[in-house]
Amino acid sequence: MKWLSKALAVVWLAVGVTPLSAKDLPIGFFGPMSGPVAAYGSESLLGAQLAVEEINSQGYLGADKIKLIPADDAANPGTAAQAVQRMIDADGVLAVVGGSTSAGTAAAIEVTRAAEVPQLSPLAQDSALTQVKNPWFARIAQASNVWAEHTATWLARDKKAKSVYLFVRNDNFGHPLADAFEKKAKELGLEIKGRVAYEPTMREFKPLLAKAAETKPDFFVLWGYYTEAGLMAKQMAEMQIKMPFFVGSSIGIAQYRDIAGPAADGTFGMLYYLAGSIDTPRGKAFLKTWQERYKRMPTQYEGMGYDVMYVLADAIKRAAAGGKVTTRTIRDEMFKTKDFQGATGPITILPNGDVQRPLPLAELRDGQVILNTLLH
Amino acid sequence: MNVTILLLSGLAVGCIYGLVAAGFSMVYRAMGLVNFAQGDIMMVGAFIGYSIIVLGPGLPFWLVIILAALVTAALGFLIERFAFWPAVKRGADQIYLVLLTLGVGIVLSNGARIIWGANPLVYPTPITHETIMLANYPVPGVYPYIAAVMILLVIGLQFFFTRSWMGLALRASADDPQTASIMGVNLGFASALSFAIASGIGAVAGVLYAPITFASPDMGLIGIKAFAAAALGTLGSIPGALIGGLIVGVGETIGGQLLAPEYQDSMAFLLMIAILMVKPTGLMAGGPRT
Repeated sequence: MKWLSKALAVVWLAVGVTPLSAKDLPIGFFGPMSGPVAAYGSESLLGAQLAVEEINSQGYLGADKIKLIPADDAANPGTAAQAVQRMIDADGVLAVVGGSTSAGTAAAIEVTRAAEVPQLSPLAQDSALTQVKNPWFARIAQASNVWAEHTATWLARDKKAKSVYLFVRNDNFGHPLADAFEKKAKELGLEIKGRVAYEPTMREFKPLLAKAAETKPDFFVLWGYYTEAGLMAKQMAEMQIKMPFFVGSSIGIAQYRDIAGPAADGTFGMLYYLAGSIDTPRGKAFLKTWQERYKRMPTQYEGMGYDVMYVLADAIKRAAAGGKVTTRTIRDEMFKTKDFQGATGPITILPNGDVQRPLPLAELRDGQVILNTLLH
Repeated sequence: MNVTILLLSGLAVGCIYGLVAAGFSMVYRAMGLVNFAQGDIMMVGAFIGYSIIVLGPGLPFWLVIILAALVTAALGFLIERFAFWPAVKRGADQIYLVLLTLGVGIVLSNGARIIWGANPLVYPTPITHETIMLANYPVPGVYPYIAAVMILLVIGLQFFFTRSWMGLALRASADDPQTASIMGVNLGFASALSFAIASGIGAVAGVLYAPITFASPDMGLIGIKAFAAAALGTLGSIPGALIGGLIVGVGETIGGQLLAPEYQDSMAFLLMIAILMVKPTGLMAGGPRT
């Protein structure tokens, strides 16, 4: 029968196809890989790429392999929507991973919903994204209201703060967080001394800081991006304003610490994931692999990028076990994700597309991000 | 104390706007062209300054400013020679030339992203995070450099344009190109030299601004405010540009504090609209070049 296998091999080579049993599964990935918030997209992509490499080389999906199709949205919602439309139309993706900003994700879910392609975001936080009952969208990052409520509770109970002043990025990342924070703060009796929205292009925060300092709150709380957090911390030091400062997820970003300089020390934040905080075999194995490969600890976005790809791969695996891998079966299985042992902790996708997972609160001391509390 | 600190901060940022605005005015005087790439030239200058600091970590900051200005001026000379002058020589319409400047700005911004990366870069020099006391007021370590550069540039440009042959030739070619040409001034070279000087001044602004914030491919956006400063100081007037920059810088800082800080970024344009409504040709006498 040798001649038959040879003939088949010749036919395969001639038509340029791989055996039917092994398929390439095109998966789109989008996020900002350039621009002032490039860290969100490029770091989560690096984590996703490592996951895809492992999934493909270790036969996680049997003979099938994930083919990742990345696109840079430069944190521009219009570009995000176009990129996702292109990967659906031209590449026929089975699912889309992204985005890494709330604005980009909000634009893209309109496209994935219309095309009936499942979308799983590693980082998008805006509560509104899951309030519209979109059956094609889920995320592995907690919604902004969860972040904000936990922050308010932590400030009031653990830090014994009586009052705060809010700085809010004037977009659909900043405002939902600030709204949810204010609501919870009122419940807890935490006084809001003031709330100021700033434009994302702003670089000179001294007038805002001066006005806020006059109100003498116990804490400054920022709902914005890391470049703004870094500049605010730096300018506070220049103005000699000594105020406990909560900077959200910026605390885990190297560029925040670079921009703020020594002023970053003593600031507080909440991260998607803090390397070393997950004491499970999966969490430890991920750290070991990452450190062997990159000779450093993974960042929060790299951890989230890694896990988002595994959550999706797990859904694909279950869909394949059910006999059919389609956008619909992947979507159905994605929403059935329960207690998935991720590198960043156990992950459960809730019926509305939100997630249940650990949330670390941290402080920056001597240039190191130190875990304060791990919320579940 | 806060008002003084804010005033100093406004003056410092105003100087940066003023320097970029001076670049706008210089090119406008020389070529009758609004160069919307000026902000991006400033951005490239800031990145060149970053590379100089990385390559020569021990270099004094004043030398970094000079070297970045020289390299960026050379780049500006080449941009004028290869991008603008051929179009000017072929009699391209003003609107196309302005579009050309926007295109050059986009190329510079994307080029910077390819060379230096997309992430913001912080100058690896102590001056970035240094705070010094100035008459008992804490100010960033770069402020004295900004003040010194501003004074030296005003004196230097005044001397250059009134006492040097080259400066007089540049003014002559800007004011009356035909007569200047008859008198032996090479108009093409004069235009390229003006562009180079404007680029060098832009780089100085970039290197002085980066320690206040950081160098990033989108920092050229500051050019929009600088354009407002140049317009309210009368486009084409270098002293007007510098004064316009200071008005915008102080106006947005103090105005932001007094009115609403969230509208601070709009203050530059409010001031421009208010001043141009009262004085349509800008603050300086003479009016814009026609």
